[in-house]
Amino acid sequence: MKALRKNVLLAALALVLAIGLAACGKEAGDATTPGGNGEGASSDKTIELTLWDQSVGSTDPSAQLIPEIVDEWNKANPHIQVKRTGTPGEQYKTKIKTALAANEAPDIFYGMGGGSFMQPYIENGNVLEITSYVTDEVKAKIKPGVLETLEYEEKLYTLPVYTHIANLYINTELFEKAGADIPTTYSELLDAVDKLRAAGITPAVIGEKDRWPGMYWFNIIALRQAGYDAVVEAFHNPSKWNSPDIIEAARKLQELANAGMFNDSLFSMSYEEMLGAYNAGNAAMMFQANWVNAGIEDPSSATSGKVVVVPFPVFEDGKGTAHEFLGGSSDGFYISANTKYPDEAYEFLLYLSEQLGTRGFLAGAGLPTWNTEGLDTSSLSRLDLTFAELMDTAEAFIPWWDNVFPASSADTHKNLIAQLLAGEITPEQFAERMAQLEPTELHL
Amino acid sequence: MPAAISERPGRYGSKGTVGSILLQMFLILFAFVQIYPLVWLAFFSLKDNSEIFSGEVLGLPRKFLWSNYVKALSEGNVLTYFGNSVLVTAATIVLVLILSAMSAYAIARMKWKLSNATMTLILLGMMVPIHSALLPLFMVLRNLNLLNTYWALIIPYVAFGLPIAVYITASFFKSVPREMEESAVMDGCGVYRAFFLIILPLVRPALATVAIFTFISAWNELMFAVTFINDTEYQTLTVGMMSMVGTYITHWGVVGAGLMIATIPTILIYLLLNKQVQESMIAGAVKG
Amino acid sequence: MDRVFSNKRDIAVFVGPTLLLFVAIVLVPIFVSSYYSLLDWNGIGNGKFIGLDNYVEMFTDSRALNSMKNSLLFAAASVFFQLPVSLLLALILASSVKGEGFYRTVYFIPVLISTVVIAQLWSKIYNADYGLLNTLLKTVGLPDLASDWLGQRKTALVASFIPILWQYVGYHMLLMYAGAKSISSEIIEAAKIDGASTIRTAFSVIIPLMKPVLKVSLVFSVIGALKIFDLIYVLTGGGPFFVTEVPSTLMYTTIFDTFRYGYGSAISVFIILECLVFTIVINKLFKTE
Repeated sequence: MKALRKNVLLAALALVLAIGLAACGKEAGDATTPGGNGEGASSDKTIELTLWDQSVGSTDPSAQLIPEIVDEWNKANPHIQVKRTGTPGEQYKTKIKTALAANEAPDIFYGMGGGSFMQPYIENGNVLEITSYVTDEVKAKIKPGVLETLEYEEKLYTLPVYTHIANLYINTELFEKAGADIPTTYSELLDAVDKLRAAGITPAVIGEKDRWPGMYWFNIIALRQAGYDAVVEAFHNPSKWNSPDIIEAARKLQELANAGMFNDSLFSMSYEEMLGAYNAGNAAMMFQANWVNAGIEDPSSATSGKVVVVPFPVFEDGKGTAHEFLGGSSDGFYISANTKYPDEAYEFLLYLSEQLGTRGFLAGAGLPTWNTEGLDTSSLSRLDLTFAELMDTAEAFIPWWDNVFPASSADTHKNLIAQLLAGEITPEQFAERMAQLEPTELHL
Repeated sequence: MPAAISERPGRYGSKGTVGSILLQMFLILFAFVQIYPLVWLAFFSLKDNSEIFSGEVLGLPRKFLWSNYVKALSEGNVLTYFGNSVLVTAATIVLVLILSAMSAYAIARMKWKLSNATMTLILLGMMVPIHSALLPLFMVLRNLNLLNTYWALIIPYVAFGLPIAVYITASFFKSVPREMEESAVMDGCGVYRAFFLIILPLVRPALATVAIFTFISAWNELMFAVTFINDTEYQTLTVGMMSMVGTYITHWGVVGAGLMIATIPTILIYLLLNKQVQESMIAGAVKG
Repeated sequence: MDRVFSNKRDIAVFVGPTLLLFVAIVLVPIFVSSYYSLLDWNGIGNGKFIGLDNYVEMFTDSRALNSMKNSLLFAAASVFFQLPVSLLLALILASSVKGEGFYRTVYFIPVLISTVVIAQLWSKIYNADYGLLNTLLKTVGLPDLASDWLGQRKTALVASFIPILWQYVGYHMLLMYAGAKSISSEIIEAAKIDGASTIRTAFSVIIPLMKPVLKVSLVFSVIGALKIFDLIYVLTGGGPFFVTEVPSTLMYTTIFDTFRYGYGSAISVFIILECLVFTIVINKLFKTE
């Protein structure tokens, strides 16, 4: 009996404890309800803003920068406190979409690249329009041409942070070992593949399990083959996907695959595993965007100091030039239309975008969209500097195609490329099915 | 008390020596298959990448890279996450035990028309895929103003843990002889006293089993924790581990260390409650 | 006595809180999902009522049908591969072999581990370049068998079944062991005296008497297979080329990748109904015998 009584008491105690702690949690929880209910400290007019983003992880420079920027803001603005939650990529998507669907979005949140992700929310009025907030003074600080790429139906909803473009990474050590030259044309590329294979080196690595790494390859090949104008036209008029140039691009991708360009394990390898493999020196080439620079140059990587980046080779029979780049859009932060403090939210958005944009550039997180005169670029790696130089030679940009297509067409597009890589469909079939995708809703 | 079931004498008699050696080999082989993947996990959690990627996959680590564990643990806030997981899981277990014991008792012992229907209804909870409940639950919690608090996790965990808890406990109750309650009632106990002081202690093995099942699912839960909690101060260990895995995905060693950290508590608790769990699964399952 | 145990107010107190919680957290979402399943809704703004169109689409879309096929295959694999192994182990252990307690404990350990951890672990085992499996094959001199297990159409599906079969063998084994152990020894003795061999005893006496336990195992393993999500999602994401896709992963990508809450909800309703149907069928099967 005694033991029983003790057990019951213990259980009751545990319960009381749990309730007590949870109740404490609840009080604090009330003060941080998303949507900016700053009811917490009622005496002074402190308002609280919530910020959600997906920059988590030690290899992402933004992951360090954002908390710093938030701290600085909080110190400088005691009456406008910002509370930040960082969630890793895959889960961030679920989290923000659920919150938006329930009208519980935070005041400021990170939205993936201009296209299919944010568009439905903009159209539905979930996002605050900020066109009237952006003064000429602010516009003058931003690199020319950038704001236009962010406009949706001529209105602004976000400010630029930093941008990314994709280029071909070359592991010079492996190339030397195979006696291969850095390719500038398609036939030189095929040549390099042969030499690398003969030396027992995997020419290029793709993490096709996530499907978008392979998409980057096709996107650039199509760009080189058909040229910028033709691609833009096809985005607006999908029947143009079924054209000789696109078919030829598909054929070239298969030709590369058949020549042994890619790793055998491409379908079970994820994006991160691809980075791991490349940084360990297991493949000579990779076609990716500059966010991978930090990992490559990390002192613990086998590739540190050995990798250079070049524009993707031009095609002798293609209409595209080396000045047309894949990438160039800016993933930025957006303000929820439900926010109780639009003015303050914009102030913070401006501060965050500018700070992250310039400091991110200096930390190698991306390419600058804000003016960079007078900034000390000595800490940038050779890779980062090359990217900046290439960026200056650019004449045209196309964002990653899964951001240009509407959501379900983007999905189909990626699947078609995967099938192409696996040799399951012919280039003609590929082009036919591409022609059935929906046109883009972006202003290209 | 009848002898614990696991101690009853066996019945197949003795086999021939060759037979029993072969049998042992088979059992050991299977034990190896069950355990080796974990052993392998423990091993590579102590290696560094060059060892793993050089094909030295099978053996013991050359050096014991405890720094992997340090890295995994220092991924900011692990202690907070751990504490939160403990709190949420403990509260969940306590609530599940109380609620399931009470409702299982009502279903198994009390006389009312809807008892079977209620049991079936509760079992329905086992068939719901969690992700489909995500958005509706989010809205329910939002309307109750419970988002971003411990309750946002405790309440769903308890609700989804109840079906199997009620099932196991009810089966167990059915196997308790009615004489116990009858004598209690005759001594003048009301239902409540009879329940708490007499009946409940009898089903301790069932409670232990429910405790450990609830522990496993609450401790390891990911989706709700990601979606319903924003602030780091309330976040649980699984989320922390997943984001660490995402960061270090290419450093198998650190990833392994993180996975081990998330797993070891469960194994320890199991080893502690082992006997109880097995007793109750035995008795509970028989009544089906 | 009866009056004590049929007091309505007492019953309400005992069952009430549970039911309340259950209705709010489990039932309400089911109803809400069912409602969404009748809409064409992208999660933002208002949806359009389209009646049963989502369900029609589900049953005519080859990708959805493929996912259903996969979950049924999975259930079949659980029933016809996993459960017999569990049964065999249970019977062996119930016959008081040496080390019975040790084996019982060891076999159960995988059950304790989070499915996400299991998926991470097995994706490393299957890794084409550094995984345990391929390394083992190369070490024993079978390098040709080494392949990209999770990346190839022909191997991905079976490869993704194995971890979960592996994980829950111990669970079902323990249930069945309990059932076997509780059969009174007199019955077994009687069979022995009649001259029945060990195997015949097993089949004609023990297994039939274990029916209640077998039913429970059957229901749990089928429902678990039909609902499975975490493991497949982390291992393969439903790929390559959807060969490993199951209804839950399809539902997840439909809702969170392509913004189709209505269709995704229809899939979830389907999963729930599927589990319900199988439970009822299994229960009936065991009653008639």
